[in-house]
Amino acid sequence: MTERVTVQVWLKEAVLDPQGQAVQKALTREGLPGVKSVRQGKAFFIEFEDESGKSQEDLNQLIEKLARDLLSNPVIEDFQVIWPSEPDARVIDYLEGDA
Amino acid sequence: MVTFPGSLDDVDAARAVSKAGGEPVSLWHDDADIKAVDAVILPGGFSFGDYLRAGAIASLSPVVETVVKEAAAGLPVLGICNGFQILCEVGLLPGALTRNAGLRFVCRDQRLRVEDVNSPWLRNYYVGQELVIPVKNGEGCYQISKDELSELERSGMVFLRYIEENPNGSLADVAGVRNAQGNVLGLMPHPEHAIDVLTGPSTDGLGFFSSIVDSLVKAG
Repeated sequence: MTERVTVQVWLKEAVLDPQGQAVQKALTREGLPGVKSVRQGKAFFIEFEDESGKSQEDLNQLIEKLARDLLSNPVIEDFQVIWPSEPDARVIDYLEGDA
Repeated sequence: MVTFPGSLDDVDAARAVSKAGGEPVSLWHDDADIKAVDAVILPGGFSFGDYLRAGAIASLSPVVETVVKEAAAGLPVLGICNGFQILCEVGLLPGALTRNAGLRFVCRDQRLRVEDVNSPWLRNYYVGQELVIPVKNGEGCYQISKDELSELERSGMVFLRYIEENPNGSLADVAGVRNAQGNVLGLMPHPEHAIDVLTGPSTDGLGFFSSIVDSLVKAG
């Protein structure tokens, strides 16, 4: 079975996000009223087929470790793991259309 | 001198080592063997395209694994620009480097002040010395928690600071930090581009390379 994990990563509240600020200005300029804050982050959509026989507990720990140590940098970033994850239909369309 | 895919300034840094009287040895990112060198320089550039985060993928390479082990045993390590980012990613130096506050890639001659010289890479400088060395980076904004920053300041680990103008929004104008022992040093400016008045704004950068050569000769 294909496992789908989404990992979202964004800068911690205390860390300056100049890209988010630039996007905030653009959103305001394009007419979105009262934009208070924009934080720009990134998302990883991971698919894998597990035939290793690892326990769910081990996989959970491994994915959390990879999200914390590789996909994000704990000095400056926070992350969220969403698993199991069903990317919404538009995301799937985009990915399939892209291939 | 380590070369990663995307390293740019390895040749300049090797030239700086030669000019300071040392013998540069090429190391390859995918080879854990560091050929019994006396010191390691991680040069500037955009290793692995800066994908994921600047320095993040390089920090997982076999050569860096060896460097981390040897650094704990006292091997002198200098990270310049992308090399500094790698040292932060791998945890040899505290903090992290994020996108410049102005969102622009900054490339110019930068005034700096030496704040601490407790390192084999700094013996030919003095505290309070002012330098002019080029900076060129897109992600040079030094970030760290307030508590950790005050600890760094207290222990003299912020060895280099931007003066007059902060090019990238770094906290407390931090341009370079060292580890507690002083053998591991990282900085965003490029001393290897300031070793010859023909090609650089000054020869102020040569001191990093002559310092390590002098330190090793004295020790050896």
